[in-house]
Amino acid sequence: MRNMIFASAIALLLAGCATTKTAEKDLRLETPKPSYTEKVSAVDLRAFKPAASCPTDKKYESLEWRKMVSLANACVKTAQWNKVDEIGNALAVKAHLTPWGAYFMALAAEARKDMPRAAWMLELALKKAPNEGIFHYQLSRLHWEQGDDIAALKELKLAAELNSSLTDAHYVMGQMALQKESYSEAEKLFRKALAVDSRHVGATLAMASLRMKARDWAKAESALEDAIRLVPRNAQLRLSLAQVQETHLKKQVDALQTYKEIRSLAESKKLDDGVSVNVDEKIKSLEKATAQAVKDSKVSSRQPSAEGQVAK
Amino acid sequence: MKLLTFKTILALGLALAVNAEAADAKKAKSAAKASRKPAKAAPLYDLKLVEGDEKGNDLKSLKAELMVQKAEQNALKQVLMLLKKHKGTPLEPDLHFRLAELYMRKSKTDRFFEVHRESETVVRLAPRQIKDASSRATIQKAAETYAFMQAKYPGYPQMDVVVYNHAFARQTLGQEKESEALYWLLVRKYGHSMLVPDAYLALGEIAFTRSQFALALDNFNAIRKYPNSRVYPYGLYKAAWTLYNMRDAQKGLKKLEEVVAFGRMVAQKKIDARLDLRKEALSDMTIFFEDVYPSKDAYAYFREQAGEAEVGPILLRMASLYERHSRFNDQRIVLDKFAEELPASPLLPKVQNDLVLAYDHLRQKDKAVERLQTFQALCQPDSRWMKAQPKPTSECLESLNETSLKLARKWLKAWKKLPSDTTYADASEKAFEIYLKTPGTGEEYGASRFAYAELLFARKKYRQASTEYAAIGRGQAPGQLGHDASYAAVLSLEKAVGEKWSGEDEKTFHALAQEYVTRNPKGQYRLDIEYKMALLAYEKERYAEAGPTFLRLGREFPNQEKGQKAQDLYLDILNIKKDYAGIRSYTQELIKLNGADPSREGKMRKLYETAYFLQVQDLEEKSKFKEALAEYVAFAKQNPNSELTEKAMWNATQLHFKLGDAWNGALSAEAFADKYTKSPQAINALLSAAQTFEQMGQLTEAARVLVKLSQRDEKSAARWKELAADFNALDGNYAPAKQAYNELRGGADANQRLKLVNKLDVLEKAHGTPASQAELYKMMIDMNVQPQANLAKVQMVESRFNKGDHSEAFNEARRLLGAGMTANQKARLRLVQAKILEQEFLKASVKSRAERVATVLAIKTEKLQKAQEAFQSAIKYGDARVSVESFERLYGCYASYVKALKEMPVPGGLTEADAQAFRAEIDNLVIPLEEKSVDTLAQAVKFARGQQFLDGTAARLEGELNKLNGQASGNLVPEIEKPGIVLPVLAGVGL
Repeated sequence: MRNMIFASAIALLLAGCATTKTAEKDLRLETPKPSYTEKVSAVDLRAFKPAASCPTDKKYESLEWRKMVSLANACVKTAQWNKVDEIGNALAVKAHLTPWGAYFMALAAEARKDMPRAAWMLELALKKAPNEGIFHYQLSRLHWEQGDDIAALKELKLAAELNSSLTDAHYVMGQMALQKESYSEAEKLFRKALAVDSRHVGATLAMASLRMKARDWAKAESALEDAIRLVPRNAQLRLSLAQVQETHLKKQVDALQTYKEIRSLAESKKLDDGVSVNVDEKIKSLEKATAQAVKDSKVSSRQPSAEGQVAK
Repeated sequence: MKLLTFKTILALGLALAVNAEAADAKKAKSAAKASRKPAKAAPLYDLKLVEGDEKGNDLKSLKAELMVQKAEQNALKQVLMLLKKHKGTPLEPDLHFRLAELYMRKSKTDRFFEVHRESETVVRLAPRQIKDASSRATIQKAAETYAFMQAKYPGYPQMDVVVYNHAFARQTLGQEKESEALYWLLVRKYGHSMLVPDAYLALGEIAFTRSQFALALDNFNAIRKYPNSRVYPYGLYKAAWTLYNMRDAQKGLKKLEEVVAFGRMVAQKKIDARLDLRKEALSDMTIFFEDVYPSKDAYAYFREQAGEAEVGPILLRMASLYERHSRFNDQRIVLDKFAEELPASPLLPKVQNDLVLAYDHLRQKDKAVERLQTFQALCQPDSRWMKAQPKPTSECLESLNETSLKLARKWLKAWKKLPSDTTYADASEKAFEIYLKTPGTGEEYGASRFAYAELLFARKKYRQASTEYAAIGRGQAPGQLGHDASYAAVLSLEKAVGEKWSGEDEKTFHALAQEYVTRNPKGQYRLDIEYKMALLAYEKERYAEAGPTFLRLGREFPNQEKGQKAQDLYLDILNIKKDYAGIRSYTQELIKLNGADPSREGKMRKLYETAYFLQVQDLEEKSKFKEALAEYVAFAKQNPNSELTEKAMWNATQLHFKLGDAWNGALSAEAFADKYTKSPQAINALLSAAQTFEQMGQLTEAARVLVKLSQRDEKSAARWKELAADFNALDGNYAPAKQAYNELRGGADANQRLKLVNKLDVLEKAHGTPASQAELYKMMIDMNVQPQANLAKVQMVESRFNKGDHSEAFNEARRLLGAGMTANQKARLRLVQAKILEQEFLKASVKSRAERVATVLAIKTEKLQKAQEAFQSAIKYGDARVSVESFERLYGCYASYVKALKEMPVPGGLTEADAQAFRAEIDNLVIPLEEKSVDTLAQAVKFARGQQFLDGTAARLEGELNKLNGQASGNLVPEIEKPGIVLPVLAGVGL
């Protein structure tokens, strides 16, 4: 019998479909692109009060990355740098689009004095969040540590510009301006520091110092009084106040009162530094002078009930 | 010359009839009686022969003969007994005559047994009779008895009969001479005897046998004198044949005309019918006519001789004779005339049939076909001829069909031998059509239709062929023919349709195919047919219809080509439906099913993999990325050697990244590059993996990948290796980093080498030992790597100074100051010198006796000047740190000198006045020095304020200056300190 002629198989077109489909796909690997833009506040380690304690196990790995950041902060607080490095490493993998893993690894590296690694990690953090001042701030600290003052100040300036919550960045930049006797610039920077932390001792002291340098004695008196409220054990501040009152404002009664307080505090060892001025002589001299003044003018400008208020 | 058979039996019959008539009449009478009373004549009834029952008939004949033999033996016994009894009496001759007659009769019985000697039945039942029977011996006894009578009873009144019978017996025994003599004796001696014509006839026959035709003719002609003799017409008849044998057919024909005329007369006068030899004569006249007259005259001649009623068969015989002698045209003429003249003849079918054959013999197939068609018309129930017949007949149609089939086959065979001559095919086709017009059944009918269909197929008349094949398939019982026809019907339709199938054709195909499959569930072509059926549905995209069939065929015939095509097409349907899971499942099944064929298995495996891959791709396209990722990974694991595994791994890598799992994305990319080293994506994969690890701060991993990348990407190998070393260095893997830097240094250009040395420098500073650092410095110097080489030299000078090797340090510094150092480097070298000179100044004591005071102070002052110059020189180079240190140290020198002078003891032995004068002189020296000291410190403060020192230098110096001036410090601000660590506070999360 004759052979039948039928159609040939066509099923093997399948393979072509698969290949074509794949070939059309993008041959590049879409590796992640940094896109972290979160605005973050900075807190000074000394003022930091952790809500949790640094973990002793690795359960943190299953936590949400933000909580891991909190735990890393706690470990920094207690200077458990290995743990900081460990959590930082985990964060770098888990939340690789955020800069925090690299940041904590940088802190840990700095603690180990491994400055190149610390710097590299900060550069990495900056790649992920180029506008975050904290990393410039930390870079500045590294340069500072390595004696590269120019670079340190450059980074610090950037840090201050990018993150207004970096109090110390404003403060140090203010100090540098003060050193160069650029007082208006210094005041501006100290004000920024105080805007973030109204109880910033250095900035408060610096503001008092600026007033004195500007010979604005009334404001200087007020600034010094503010400063004393922050650091009541600072003898230098109290002496400065007394000198301003006595010498520049001619407030002998107030000055007398300030010296008396200094003597009292010194006697009760409530001052940190030694008193470089003979307070007794000053008191004696002022008492004499005030008595004479009372006698001369029969004017009394202060009530005894105001005693002790300055010391508070 | 033709030998003619004589009708001896007729002659013998006539002879025997002379005296046996009475006995026969008696027998007939008793037989008739017996037939009328079958119950009482059971023996005769039982002896009746039955057609087809050979054994039974043998037995019956034997029984009859045994009965006859018994009767004959009894008669012989009786006659012999009577001869004894009547010996010498007048009855004796009659008894001898009767005895001779009985012998003659008995010879016939013996003859029966002789003839049946081979019959098993007869031998078994009558062995003695078989053995004893001898007709010749019995005739011999008869002849001897007649001879005895001739001799003993010459005056016997019936001596002419005795002589004739004797002659006949001798003739029977082959004793021709004796026989001829006896016949002549009768003719001559007993001329009055009524047996004389018979004797002439016998003498003519003997002469005819000897081919003595003239003598024979004389003897036959002698009979003409006895017109009343019963052998008269036979004599004429024999004379005609004798003339024919003497090549005088015309005279012979005349003789036969006489026989016919005599017969007609006998019939008219109703004389003994046995004398009417018209039938034999008319039949033989055709032979003579052929030689005498042309065929065109046949009808007229025989019409005259035989009359209208009987002319038909004669003409047919005439036509047959022409046919036998291959005179087909004469045959055709006779038959055509017949058909023309006798349109209602019952013989017309035979005539038409013979005409068809005659035309065929004449190679006039078209005419033959025409005649067949005429024949066909004749046989139709409503034809004039059919209506003219007294009763319906099927013979016409049977004959027509027989001939049409015969010719159809013959012409088909001829066409097959000579395909170029299509007239045979045309004729065969028409003949088959005629044959098949009559509905029929049976094997032959089916085979004929099959042959017709085959012819149509061969002539590419596929659609017609399909119809015919189908008709066979339907009409045929299951068997090979039915199977073949059913299949051929399908095939022919396919051929008829070609490529484009109409709906109607497909419907027909479907019906034919179903029929084949139903009737031939195990048919040889079931696969082909079902496959085609499904294929048609497939081609018209009726996948739901095609799919199950392909699936079943693929499973049922896995090792046949069509079975595998069915598998392929089923796979294609699944593919069209994008049923990749189905393809996977089915290909897995096929891998097991086609396991014996490695090539097929390979293809199926490839398809399986492709389907699997597409299935996963589909998941990906539907944005089911997690599932797709898991499946890609599973695919790669399950099919490590697949061509698609590379793509699967690549896609899995991409999905890792897409899903944000960069870590596994990077690992996957690395694994991809490890496995597919030659892939165009390998470098890209490694690069991406390295970048990802880098982004995640996983520097050891990044370094590992970069090392691999450096091995693949030859163009950028050094770059990747260096980067790997950088990452290793950063991640604490110093040894491999150092090794890599050193290796890279070997093949690097000057700039690159410098870069690498710097990196080694950083490494050494952070993690090296003093020895390794020194080695590096030496190397840098040897290489004159700038500024490292000069810096190294400066550091070495500083190091020597720090170790107290002042002389060497000073001299080396002096040498280096003239060796192309930078300002900073010179500043540092000069500072070392200044410090050495400072040390020398500070060491110089001012204690002395009075006479040596001036000298001591001069020496001290000189040393101060040298130190002062050195510091001032160092300051001039403009290095901030060196400058501020120089200022401070210079201030220290002045302050030290002031202090030394102020504390200088008054030399012994001086008077009070001299002592006062000495003191006054010293004070004179101190005052400008103090001023110089304060001034230098003020310069230092001013300089420090202008710098960006973060170590509190400016404040410290200022405090010192205030102190020196006796002023209280007005600076309340704490010294600048390195800012503390800050921590991020993220929104929504507690600290």
